[in-house]
Amino acid sequence: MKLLIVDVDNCNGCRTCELACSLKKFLIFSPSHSRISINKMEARGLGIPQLCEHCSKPPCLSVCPTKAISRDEKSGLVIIDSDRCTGCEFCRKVCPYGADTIKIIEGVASICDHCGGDPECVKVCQCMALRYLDSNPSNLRDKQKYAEKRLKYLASETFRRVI
Amino acid sequence: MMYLWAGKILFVDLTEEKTWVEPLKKELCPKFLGGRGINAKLLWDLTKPGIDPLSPENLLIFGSGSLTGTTAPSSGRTTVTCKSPATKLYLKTSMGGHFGAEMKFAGYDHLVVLGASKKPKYLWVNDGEVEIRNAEHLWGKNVREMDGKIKDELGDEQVKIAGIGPSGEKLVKFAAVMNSIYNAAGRGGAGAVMGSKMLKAIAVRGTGDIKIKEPEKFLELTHKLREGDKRDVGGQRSWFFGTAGNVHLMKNTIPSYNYLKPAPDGLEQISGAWLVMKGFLKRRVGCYSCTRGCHRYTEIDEGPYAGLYTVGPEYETFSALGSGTGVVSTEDVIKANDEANIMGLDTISVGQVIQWAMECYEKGLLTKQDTNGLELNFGNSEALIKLIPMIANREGKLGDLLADGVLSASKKIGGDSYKWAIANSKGLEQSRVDTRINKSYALAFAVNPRGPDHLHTECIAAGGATPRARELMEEATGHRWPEALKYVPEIVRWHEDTYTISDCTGFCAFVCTAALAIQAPEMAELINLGSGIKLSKEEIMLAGRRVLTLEKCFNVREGADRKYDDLPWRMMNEPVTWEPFKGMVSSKEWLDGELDKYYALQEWDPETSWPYKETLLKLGLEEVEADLEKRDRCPSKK
Repeated sequence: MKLLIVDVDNCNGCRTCELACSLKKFLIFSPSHSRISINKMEARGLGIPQLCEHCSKPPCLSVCPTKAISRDEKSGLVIIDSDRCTGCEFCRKVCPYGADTIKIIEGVASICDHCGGDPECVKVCQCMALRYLDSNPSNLRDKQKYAEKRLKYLASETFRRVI
Repeated sequence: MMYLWAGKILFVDLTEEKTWVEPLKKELCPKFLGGRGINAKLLWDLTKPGIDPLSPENLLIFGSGSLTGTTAPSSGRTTVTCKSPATKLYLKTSMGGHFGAEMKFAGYDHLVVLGASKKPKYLWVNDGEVEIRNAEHLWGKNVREMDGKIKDELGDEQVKIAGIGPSGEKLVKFAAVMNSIYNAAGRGGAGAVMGSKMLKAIAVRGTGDIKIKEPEKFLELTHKLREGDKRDVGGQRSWFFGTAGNVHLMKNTIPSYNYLKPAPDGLEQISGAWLVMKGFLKRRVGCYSCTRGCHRYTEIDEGPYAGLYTVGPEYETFSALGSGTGVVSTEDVIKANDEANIMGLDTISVGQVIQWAMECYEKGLLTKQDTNGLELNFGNSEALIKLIPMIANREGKLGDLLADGVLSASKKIGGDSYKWAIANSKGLEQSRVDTRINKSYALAFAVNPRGPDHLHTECIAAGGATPRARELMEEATGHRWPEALKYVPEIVRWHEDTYTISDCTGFCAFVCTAALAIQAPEMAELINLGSGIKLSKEEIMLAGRRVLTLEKCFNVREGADRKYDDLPWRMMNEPVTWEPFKGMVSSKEWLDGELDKYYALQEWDPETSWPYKETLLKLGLEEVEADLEKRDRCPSKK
């Protein structure tokens, strides 16, 4: 298994990852069809990449009323069964990283699936905010660290827009 | 259905308060490509010559590049086109940021604003829904406040907004259209046109898509281009240090003290490297689909400006508000830059008018009475920071005088002050390049349809910094570099064509004319894969020339001729006084010689500078030829 590590401080907010994602999955360029979102706070020059972290204890999994969300034993990733999903958005409401990690695309909740081991978004991320690395103790620690940093950014008052 | 282009143009008539959508004519796409090209065509078609740029008859056109909204590296630029209040001639001014892509995802390649409202308005484009909304509560607000208030009102942080600050409302001749708060379509006063229409802002949210003819191949090619771009040293530098990265190495070439003296001591403090090393730089910010992030996000942690957060400064600003005014304190320039940004001013022009005022003050043409008590000496950062909002609000005698630009101000002040006005006959203040030293820039600046400016044509490849640059210059001139440097008109024309197609497609100069990773063949291939059109390298270069010629013809229709193609007085008459460039000047005689060669190359009439009838027909500009023929401004080749 590999890890998709997101360093928010490296993100320049260019949003190319969204385009790569939508092209790979839907053969069109459309941020609304992307499973990764860059939430921008333009006054602060900040872009926060939002995508599924595949938590070890995912809250979305337990709240799903149709049991559409499960963990894939083989890849270790959280997956959503599109046939079961009703688009009720319960999962979006409980995600600790914010609702934008789970997108409702064409009526179905959709999350990052690492493109089956070859994530397209990583290929276009020139500022190294997205990296796809082997799962080893050191990288796992990094992932944890960067995930916490992202949570801090999302929660911090400083990074709310000042008007 | 259209590939690559969204396929629609949104029209907004503010006088009638009505909006409508027209399809983008398919046959325009291969001919004018998009962005700047189709904008120019719309402006030519929809305006009459001789109109007052600040009247409701002027248009304000936003155009996203044809490759904007795709993974093509750094292709997110937006062009704003109108008749310029500063030059009363053609104006295209482009901006980075995220506005153009959002507009395309909302379904529009171009947005045309007509007429003028009587009360402040802003436009809310939410995919197919378009609404003209009240903006009385936003009038007078600076750009950052305006952006925040609109986002709050619409309840969406991800809305993209292009708008004006107080300077646009006050019709300052160099007011910018700002988008994503800090990205400016700065030059030529497009912000004043927006202000004259009482349009405070345009907010866009798009959830649509862009269809691609051959999606996999397209993506593969853009991956390849990104890989190539990664290996570019200049690209890496612009990511790491920004556009102002090497200012400290430009002691003898960076325009300083209104082009009078070499750079002030302490120049390193106003460089991109200093921003990084001293910790002012907090983040690197990218425009849409950017590969670089040369845009800087900076904060000041201590001192009188502690807590200030803003972006930049970038090269032009460090030079215009820093070395140009003799101010080398990093904090002061950051503060001045932020003032100019949130007031919605073009930092190049505002820096230029302040330098001119400083020289007038030191030489006794402006007194303390004229300046509201400001000691307007070179190097006085306090005066610099105070003066910027004064100009934006046309406050006091001085603010009002300077708000009309340096040429108009020098006419009012009289004396020798016209000699210190760094603007050419078109009336635009020159960008921060010493055109006495750099000859290809000199010719390019003289012939630019919008005035002496680097983002219309900047002859970077002529510097021959990389093997690729030297190769391209050899291709353009037929001679090996540096021998090629003698062929200034050929160099200028190559850069003009390349710049034009990169503006049309939405590419940033940093990947096209600075880093050279993406050239005409790559752009043609991207358009072909994206849209199914078949364009060759030659055809796309020709499209660039067609667009540039159309822009030139707009000026011809307005009555401009050869005497508008010149340089600021100081560049033509006052040689550089410092080593190693001592004695260098771009005299009128030299310029005339180069102009003759340039017009011959372009197949324009040398006497008037007007394109020949045959040239226009060859470029497929029949309707332009017919119009100019009627006005007797279309000479035949003898």
